[in-house]
Amino acid sequence: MSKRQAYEAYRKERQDKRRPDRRMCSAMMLFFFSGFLLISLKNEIAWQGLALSIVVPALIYVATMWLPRFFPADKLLLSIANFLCALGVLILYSTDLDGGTSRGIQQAMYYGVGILVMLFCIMLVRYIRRWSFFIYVIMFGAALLLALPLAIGTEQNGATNWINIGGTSLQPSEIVKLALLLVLSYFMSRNRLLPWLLFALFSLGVLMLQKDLGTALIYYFTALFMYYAATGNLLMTGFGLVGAAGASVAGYMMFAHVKKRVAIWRNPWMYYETSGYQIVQMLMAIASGGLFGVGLGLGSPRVIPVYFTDCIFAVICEQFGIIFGVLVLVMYVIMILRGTSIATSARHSFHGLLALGATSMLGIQTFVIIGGVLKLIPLTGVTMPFVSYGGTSMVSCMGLIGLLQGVDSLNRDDLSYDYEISRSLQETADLPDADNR
Amino acid sequence: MPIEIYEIVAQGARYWFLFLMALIVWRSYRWFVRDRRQRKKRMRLLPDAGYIGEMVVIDGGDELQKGAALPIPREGTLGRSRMNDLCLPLQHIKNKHCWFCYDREEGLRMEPYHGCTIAIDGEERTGRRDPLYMQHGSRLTIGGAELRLRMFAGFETALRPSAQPTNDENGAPQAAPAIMTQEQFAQWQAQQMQQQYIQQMTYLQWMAQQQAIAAASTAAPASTPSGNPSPLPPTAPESDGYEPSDEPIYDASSYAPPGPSRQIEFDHGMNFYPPTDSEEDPWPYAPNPDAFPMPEEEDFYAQELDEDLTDAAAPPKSAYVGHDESEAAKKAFWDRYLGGGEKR
Repeated sequence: MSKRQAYEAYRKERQDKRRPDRRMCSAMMLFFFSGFLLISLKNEIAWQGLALSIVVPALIYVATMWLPRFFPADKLLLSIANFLCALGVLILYSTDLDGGTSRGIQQAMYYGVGILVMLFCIMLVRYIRRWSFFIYVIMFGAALLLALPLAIGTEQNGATNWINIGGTSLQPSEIVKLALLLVLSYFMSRNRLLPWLLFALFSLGVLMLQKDLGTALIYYFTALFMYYAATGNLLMTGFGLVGAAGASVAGYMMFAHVKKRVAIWRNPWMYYETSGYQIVQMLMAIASGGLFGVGLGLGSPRVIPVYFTDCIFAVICEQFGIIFGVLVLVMYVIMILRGTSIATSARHSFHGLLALGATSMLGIQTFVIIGGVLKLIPLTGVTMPFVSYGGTSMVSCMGLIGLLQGVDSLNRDDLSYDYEISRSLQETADLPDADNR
Repeated sequence: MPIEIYEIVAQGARYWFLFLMALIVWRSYRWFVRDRRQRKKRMRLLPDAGYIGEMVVIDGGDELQKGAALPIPREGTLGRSRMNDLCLPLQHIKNKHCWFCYDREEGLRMEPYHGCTIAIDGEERTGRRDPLYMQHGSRLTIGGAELRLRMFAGFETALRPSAQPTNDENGAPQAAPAIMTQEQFAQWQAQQMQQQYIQQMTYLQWMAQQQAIAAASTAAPASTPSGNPSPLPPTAPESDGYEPSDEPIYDASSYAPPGPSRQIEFDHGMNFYPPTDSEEDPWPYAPNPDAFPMPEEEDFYAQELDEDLTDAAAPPKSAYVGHDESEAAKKAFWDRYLGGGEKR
């Protein structure tokens, strides 16, 4: 081995130990090992918790370090998504012990399903080149699925957007999010206005009928964002924003529950014992946690109505503190910045719009739920991505991550091809002459 | 564990969790920034990344400078407005005149928008119903200007079936297609080897004649013991060089191309340069594979750049090269990677 080769091998070995994915994975594994270990010692020794203290870090290691060897994946996005999912499992499990529920274990199972959906979405983006036939199948299938709750749906928390299939509740609007992104990206990249506009309007109309205003808000602003990215038409985008404001006013005038939500948002203390109870309890939980929190497994999260879906952020702030909550938001911001970077690096407009749509959807959903919890905006019924309890929500969020990673894998292929071309030309210049061989 | 002790432990552990969370966030942020920096460095070494070629202005009138090269991305729009990927400030075109997209098999697909007209190699189109395709060297006529497409090495495309090379008016065969199937390549290789054999035989015949001329000019005419005259002519013919004889030098019917020393199995659909027949006789210009280790995919973003990748060793500013250079580069690339892989 020459001196240069020895030096290169030494440098590679040093760099392997300091690889960012290894360092982050080790920190995450330590976090969840200590978290589950602590919570399992709260009352009597919870063997389930002890098992989770081994299983969850192992799952994180497998998902972050092993999975990218077999499937093209962005390790940073994967790490952040894994961390947030595991955080949700930890928080839900910590509230299960006192209430006798098993949401933490169920959430862990949903996470496994989410991983599979993510892999499917990666393969979908990576290997399907001609979307002209599939897109119509997806469009009509999604429209049918979205309209299904109107026929056979059940009402939960004031919205008729759930269906029961074989004892399992399913929220079609969460799954149709992925279809919406594909449809919008395809037709916008081909500069065909009518198909995507009709599909978006149909989806919005159905969601309004189901009274799922939070999801309608996400759909609308995602479509508007993607439209601006595709066309650069500031005038029409401005009209869209004005239209959103007008629709909000019209909704306020037309729907009584919208009026009630706005009234609660403006002054929840006036309705403390009735409709404002949830917001008041959330604010008190965040305040009682202070900067550093009351401690994992302590506090009174179960006092907050529906704490496991809409208000999970308040539970995090109560147990871990406001500083921890801010750091969770920073994780979301890093994820969004990474998604934006992937979108701007895409070589085809379809992939760029798809990545941008997935990123904006995650960002808008995060803003809507965090803003509602902190009383910045009226509270809606959307979930916190990756953290909130819910199988369909977990599946759709992991699907969005899968779409992002599929686009990223294509970007890296393109870049490595450009790199190979330039290297082959460079080596041609360095090749020895025929007489000197 | 008693609840009182648990509370104390949990309140102590919250600082531990906060520390770990801060560490995780800090490492995520550092990772993100590092990847961004790495990517910027690599993009500086690849100034043409994302571009497939250039549109060179042949006749731009007053608005476009003749000879200007406008880079073309893989997909985009063309028009007068500055928001287009290819901005042509021509009076007679619309703000968004045309949409283009690179197709690996067909070439650069051009779709004019509704009511817009373009012409490619003399063929005119209006509206997006019927797109046109441009290959390397195609001419685009738009709004009174004329541009020519130059594709970068590695983005050449196969000719469409309607444009397969045929003999021209004089019966001379035109240039071979840039990309061939396996059978076509085998035929082309056999033709090349036949031509090389013919050239070698011609050269040997000429050398023999030159030697004979030289020997006849230096040696004195001598008679054989039998008194028969020397078989050589008494005087060397006056000639400055080789004079082809009327009779054919070689017998083409006697040529039999050599069979391969070993059967080569092609695993890929589009192989252009199969590996050499014998491993002991490699391509003479192939470099030592160990001299240039290929970076792994995961190292592409994570590791620092090699010091050798300085500006001095960096590729030239534009990746555009001529056809011969690109062919030589592809051959070296193929042999360097032991048979190469599927071309994109």
